[in-house]
Amino acid sequence: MVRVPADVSELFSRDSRQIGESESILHDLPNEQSQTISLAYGDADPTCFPIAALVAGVEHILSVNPDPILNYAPPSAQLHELVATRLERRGVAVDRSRLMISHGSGHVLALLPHILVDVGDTIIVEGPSFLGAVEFFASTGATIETIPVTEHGMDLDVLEATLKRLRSAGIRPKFIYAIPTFQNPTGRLMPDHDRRRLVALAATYEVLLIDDDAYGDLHFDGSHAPSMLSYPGSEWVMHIGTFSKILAPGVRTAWAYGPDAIMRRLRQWKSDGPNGPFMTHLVARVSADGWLDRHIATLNQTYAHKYQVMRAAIDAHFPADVVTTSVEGGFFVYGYLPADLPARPLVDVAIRHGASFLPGTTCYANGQGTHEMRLAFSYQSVENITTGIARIGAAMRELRATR
Amino acid sequence: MTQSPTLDALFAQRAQTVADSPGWAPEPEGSISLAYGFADPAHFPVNELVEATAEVLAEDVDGALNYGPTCAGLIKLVVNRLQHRGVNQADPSNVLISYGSSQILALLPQILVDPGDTVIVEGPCFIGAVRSFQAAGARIETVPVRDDGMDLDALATMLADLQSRGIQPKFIYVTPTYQNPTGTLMPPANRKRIVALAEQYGVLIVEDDAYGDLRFEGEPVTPIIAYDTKGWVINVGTFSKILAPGVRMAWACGPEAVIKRLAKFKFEGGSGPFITRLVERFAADGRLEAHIDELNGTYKRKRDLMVDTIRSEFPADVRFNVPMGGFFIYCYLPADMPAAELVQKGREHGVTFLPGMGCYANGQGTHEIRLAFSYQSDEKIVEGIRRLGAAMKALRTTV
Repeated sequence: MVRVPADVSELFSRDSRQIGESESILHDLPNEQSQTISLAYGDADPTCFPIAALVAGVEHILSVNPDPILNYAPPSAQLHELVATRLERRGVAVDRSRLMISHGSGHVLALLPHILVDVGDTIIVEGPSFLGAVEFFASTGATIETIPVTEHGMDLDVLEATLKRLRSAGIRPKFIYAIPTFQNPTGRLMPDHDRRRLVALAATYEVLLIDDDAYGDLHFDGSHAPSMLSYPGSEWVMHIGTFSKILAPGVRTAWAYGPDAIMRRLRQWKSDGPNGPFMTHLVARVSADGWLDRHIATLNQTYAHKYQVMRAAIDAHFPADVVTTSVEGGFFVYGYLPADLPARPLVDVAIRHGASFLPGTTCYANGQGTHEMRLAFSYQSVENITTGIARIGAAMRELRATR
Repeated sequence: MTQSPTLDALFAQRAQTVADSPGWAPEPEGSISLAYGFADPAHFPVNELVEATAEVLAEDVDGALNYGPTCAGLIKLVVNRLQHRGVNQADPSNVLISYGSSQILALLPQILVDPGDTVIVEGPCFIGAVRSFQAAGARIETVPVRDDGMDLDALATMLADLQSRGIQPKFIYVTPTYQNPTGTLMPPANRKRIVALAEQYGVLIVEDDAYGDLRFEGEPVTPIIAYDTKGWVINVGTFSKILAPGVRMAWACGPEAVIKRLAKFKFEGGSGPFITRLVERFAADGRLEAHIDELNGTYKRKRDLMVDTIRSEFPADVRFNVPMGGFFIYCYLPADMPAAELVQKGREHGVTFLPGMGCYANGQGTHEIRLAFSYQSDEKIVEGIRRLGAAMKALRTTV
């Protein structure tokens, strides 16, 4: 007697049989009230969104000949060229066939473990890091090694020792995930000689280095740190950049540039095929003729000012033994809390005071970060930043008084 | 750049091999292409899209341009349209918005097919879908298409045969409404029967409903999924044919367990707050339905024009269907007119089309061709069919 499946779930492939309920720690934050000033998330400043440029952009791309914009058609070649040119300006010898446009950098960060990681493989991440990415990695069954972050970014002595230890144990990690430029969450900027060493370590140990460059253009002073692709050993570097921070997250447009064998697999596993013509032409059109550079300059002024406002508020309202990072770019300030101010209880008290932040535990894959906090100055208005920091400062004093 | 063997050792088992992606074949200069089912570029709602952009950004720029989920209103719109067509089980919990229906067709084998598993398709059918099934390692079984769509007697025989050999097919890929490429329409009784077969044998039906709204005449069509009460059908629809392919917006509606897995394997997450809000805003207030009415008037006229021109220009022994909707006319060629040779002859005469072999997974279709009336202007349709008719006559005299 042949057994007929009782329902569709008996038809699933091995890869999809168990999917588990969504267990993201990121969703496990305390409920914020609508009047809560959230400094938790790295959303972009909505007052900087280029409404007029986008409307004009849609009008422009559709005005001449809508056929290659709205019909079945490849993504915008101009966008491809714009990204390639911007990389070249940072000293990268760009092979255009190795560039891919994606729906956000998270898209690439989710595809990479799918093509690189089998259950039980080892990967290396920073701690703290961008946990959205780390959760993708963990969901494929990877064993995660965490490297601490110093004031110069990833601690390369620890990284080297880890690589050495793994090699002597016969383990070749699949990749190192790093955010060398205005790291999320610490805001740290890795100096030139460390960048060189990190790329060299990846090449020496034959491990792919994923360079999440989401904040690469957001140096307050308008300068650019050297691209990880510009160092010897760069054939081991997978660079990921995004329009989310420099145009708008909502356009879901990012790029990836890396070894040919990786790029071919990313394209194969990108289930929607190449990005669509409409959105890619729109992003290219809006960015053209130097507009993007001017816009980035404006953004850097805005974010520099908001950082200074947050810094002043922290100095005024936080207890002296709360240590926060000084940053030169990006979206975040990271705080190290004294022993009597654990982040989880603190965020509960802070929400009662009408403000929130991201507890450090949500930035580690290994449960560390109990006395750390991430504060985003990117999204809120300067008034809200000041008020929000004051409320968190009040929460710190209240928590300290009750202990 | 040379391939690094040391790098290749890093890949996961599922990604050890990689296929070369097929390139975009350029059309010869001055040639008229009837090959592809592109949308009519004269009817893109350009002004409406500009207006909708301005409205969406004026209303809630933070929601549209910051990090955010797929527009809930677009999901609701898809649910309402499906319910209007009799899909009572449609609900926001079982609808997924994707970047084009080809994304759903690429994700389905990922969640359903292990290498060697069997998938049943129509012959002829949309081969782009079949290629993505094959890429996942599927073994393809082909069921013929008759004047009333997939041959369900042949399907029933095949399912019984597979069962007797202990083979559990994973899904049946079917385009019951204005099928690509034949333009055929499956009648309601057959729709009920295919659902009963899916239940009986425990197989998922993947209903490609890309042309479901492109009805030129006849009664409104109820999709197969509307006849499904036990969760054996997933319906895949798209805004490509009713708004614009370039916005890359489509949907899937089906069993929640399937939708949840599709969402998980859709690695980029949601489909973007801006573009989903834009499509929702364009479609609101009856604008989409009015646009579909306009499109159906246009495509019906172009179908009639192509049919009339075929009647006057093609040899009488070339048989063809007259579809009641969709984008295509499918022709059956006489024995002395192989499609491969006609492709060559057509190129010499300045016209291109899709040979039937491009619609089968098994090499059939050697004497069949697909002609798209959707894309070209009236003048080019007439001229293209004239050229093709001349190519047919020229081929015949040289044989």
